[in-house]
Formats: sequence, structure tokens, C-alpha cells
Amino acid sequence: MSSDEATFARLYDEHYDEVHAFCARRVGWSDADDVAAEVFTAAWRRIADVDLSFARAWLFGVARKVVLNQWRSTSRRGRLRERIAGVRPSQPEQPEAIVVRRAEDQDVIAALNDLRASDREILRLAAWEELTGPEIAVALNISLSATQQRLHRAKRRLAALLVPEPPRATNAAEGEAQA
Amino acid sequence: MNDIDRAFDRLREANPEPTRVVEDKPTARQMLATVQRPRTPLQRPEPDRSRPRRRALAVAAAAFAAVVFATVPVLMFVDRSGDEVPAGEGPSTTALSTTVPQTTVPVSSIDPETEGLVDTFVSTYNSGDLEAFMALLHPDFRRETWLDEDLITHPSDTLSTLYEVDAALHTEITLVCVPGAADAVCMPTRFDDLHRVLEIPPSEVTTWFLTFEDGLLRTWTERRPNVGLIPYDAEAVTPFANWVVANRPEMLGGSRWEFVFFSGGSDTWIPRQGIAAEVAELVSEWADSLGVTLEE
Repeated sequence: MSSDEATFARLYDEHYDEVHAFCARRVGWSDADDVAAEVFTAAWRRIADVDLSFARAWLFGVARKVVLNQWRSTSRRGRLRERIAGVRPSQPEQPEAIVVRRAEDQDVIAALNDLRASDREILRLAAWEELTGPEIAVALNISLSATQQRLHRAKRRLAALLVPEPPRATNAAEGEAQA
Repeated sequence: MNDIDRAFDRLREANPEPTRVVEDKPTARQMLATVQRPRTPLQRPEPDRSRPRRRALAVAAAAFAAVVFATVPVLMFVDRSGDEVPAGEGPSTTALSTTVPQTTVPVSSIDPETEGLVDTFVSTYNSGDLEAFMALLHPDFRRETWLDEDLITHPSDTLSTLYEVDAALHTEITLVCVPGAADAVCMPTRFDDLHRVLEIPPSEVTTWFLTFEDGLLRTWTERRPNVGLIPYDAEAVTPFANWVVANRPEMLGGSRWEFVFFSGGSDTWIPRQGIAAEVAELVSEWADSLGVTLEE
């Protein structure tokens, strides 16, 4: 086995399950096998570029692009058909399918889906993939300071969507207070 | 704990698919065996004399549209590939779960032979290898765009010049194709370093009609709301060009950049001739100024 093959085998054995879960969260369990296979195919082709100290983050970066391509391809096929048929899309493009396992999580998932794509992605990498700041920087190919700023901003926006508006005083209550 | 931390903790707990051991996954060796298949070298195939020659694409715009609109909807909904996705198919859910609706798209495919030619076209384009790309073109190849009602043919040296800039920008095209008036009617996107710097998705403003002959690309006809042969996304090239104008105005001299107008009313400069290496350097400088690191 060559050193590249040994490196690949190590990456594969150590991170396949995490990459598979990353894909399952974004495309569903039934398609995750295929997408994970594509991720490791891409990883093998670029094995010489891998910084092993950030291998996990690098793989998530590859996985992110593969998943994006898959979404684009699927939604574009539909839009091309509609364009040629001369009809407008019947509904806006959906965010990715997310299986909500617990009823109490619905509002946080809904809030996540209300954020813009870049906020969603950095929050998922931090919360679900449990990447550190430097790892997120590698996965997104941005600087560490940009990562920290974006993550903080995204957390703040998520919180703003989840925190209920403070209750407004009723007229009666206001009247009592004035009295 | 403040509201921000609490919200993030709730998101962490809402992980829809916690990592678990995947049973029956292929071993690393099995995976390697599937990706190490020898690659078929690019070569000109022998002409297939038994196949009737495909009709040329040089028809009037009205005929084009009529044929497309008349035939494609019929073809599209015929399941020729057998890989149509059943409506409602998606991740399994538990009794407690609900699922955000997932768009399912019935798939119809171009024929396998054309699909193989399109795949080769895309992978060669994305390789950045000018010689390999030009070898895909039929001796009578035509690159065409529509200008009002006129079909304009662009010389192949224009194509090679544009391709050099595309290669310098690490351009990746993707095509989604359906059967139609041409061998393949495709929705292309281009994703290049300009998109990477701006972190924006590619736009889909054009449609390509591709025909193949003797295994080579015979015609590549473009429908887009631009005049002429402008491969760039306005949303991606405009901020870059604005930066060049502000910071490297001397680069715009000598007719090497072209001032163009996009259909939405915007206008900008685009790189034009023999400046692929300089464009790559400028993009790198621009990325640095925005704190973005581009992969080598």
C-alpha cells in the first residue's frame, strides 16, 4: 500500500461515520451513502493537498461542496424543465430537508431555516459537526477572524429569532401603573 | 448563560442525525478500488457511419422555439431512464418526527451516448487543459449566440482566449440537460474564483443547445439575455471589475478588457484578450483585500 493509500485509509476509517452523518443531515439517510462515497472519491483525488492536522475539517469542506452540487443539480433539473416548458416554478426552492425528531426542536429548526444560507452553514458546522473555530475556517476556506465574526453574528441572529418578544403591557395594566 | 448561548445549545440538542457507526460500509480498500478505475484517454472516436447524421442546428429562432416547446414537455415526462424519483420518497422519520417538505424531481435523461459526450465535455472543460478542450471540437465546430434575430458565429480563437481566462479562474461548469431540439438542451452554471471570493452561488441566466457529430462537439449555441459572448456572471464579475477600476485602472488599457452591458441594465469591464495570468493575479489581490484565501 502506497503512503497516499495509507493516508486515505486512515482518513476513511477515522472519519467515514462523521462524514456520513454530515451528509445524512443534509440529504437524508437514504442518499448519504452515495454522497459520502463522492466525498471520499474527491478526497482521494486531492489526497496530496490534505493537511492531516485539519483532515476532518477539510473533509467537511469537501462534503459541503458535494452536497451543494447535488442540491443544485436536483433543483436545476426541475427549473430547466420549467423554463423550457414556459412555466414558472410552482413554489420557491425549499431549504434542505431536515428531519425533526423531537417536537420541541421544531421552532429551533424553523429558526435555522429562516436564517440566510451562510449563517445556517456556520451554525451547523459548529453545533452539529462540532468543529472548532480553526476547523470551521478550514472547512469554509475563510480566515479565523472572519469565522469568529460570522459565527457570533449567526448565533446572535438565531437567538433573536428564538427569543420571544417581551410581553406588552395591556391598557388596563398601564392604567394601573399610572394610577 | 445568556440568550445567545441558550439558543446555540438548543440548536446543538436539535441535531437531527447524530453521528453513529455506519454498518455495512465499504472498506477503504473497496472504496479505493472503485475510484482507481483507469481513466479512458481522450481520443477522437471513429465515425459511426451507420448512424444517420444529425440535422444541423442552424435553424431560425422561431423554429428552434417551436420545436423545443412542442417536443420537450412530452419527452420530459416519459420515463426513459427508469430512475424517476417517486414522489414523497425521503428520509425515514419516526412517529414523533415531522419533515420539512423535500422537493422531488422526476428525472428524464438524454440518451446514454450523448450523456457520455456531455460528461466528457464538462470534465475536459473543468480540467483547464486548453489543448484537450480544443481537441473535443469538431473540425466544423461553431460557437453561436443570438443577437436579436441573427445567429452570430464566433471564431474559435475567441473561444480559446476566453477559455484561457476561465482556466486561470479555476472555472468549473456544471450542466443539467434534457432532450430537446438539440442533442442536449442544458442549463449551465459556471463557478469560478470570482464566486469563491464573494461566496455567492452561480447564476443560471442562459441555456445551451449542444449538438455532437462523430463523437465531437459540433455546435454550441447559446441563449442568454446578453449580447455577444460574455461568459461571466454579472453578479460575480462586477464587484471584481469595480475593484480593478478603483485599484488597478492601468490594467484596463490596451483593449485587453472590454466594457460590456448586461441585460439588467448594469455595465462593467470584463477581461478579454491574452491576460489570463494577470487576471489570476488580480483576483488573488482582490481576494486578499477582502480577507479571503483562495485555494491553490
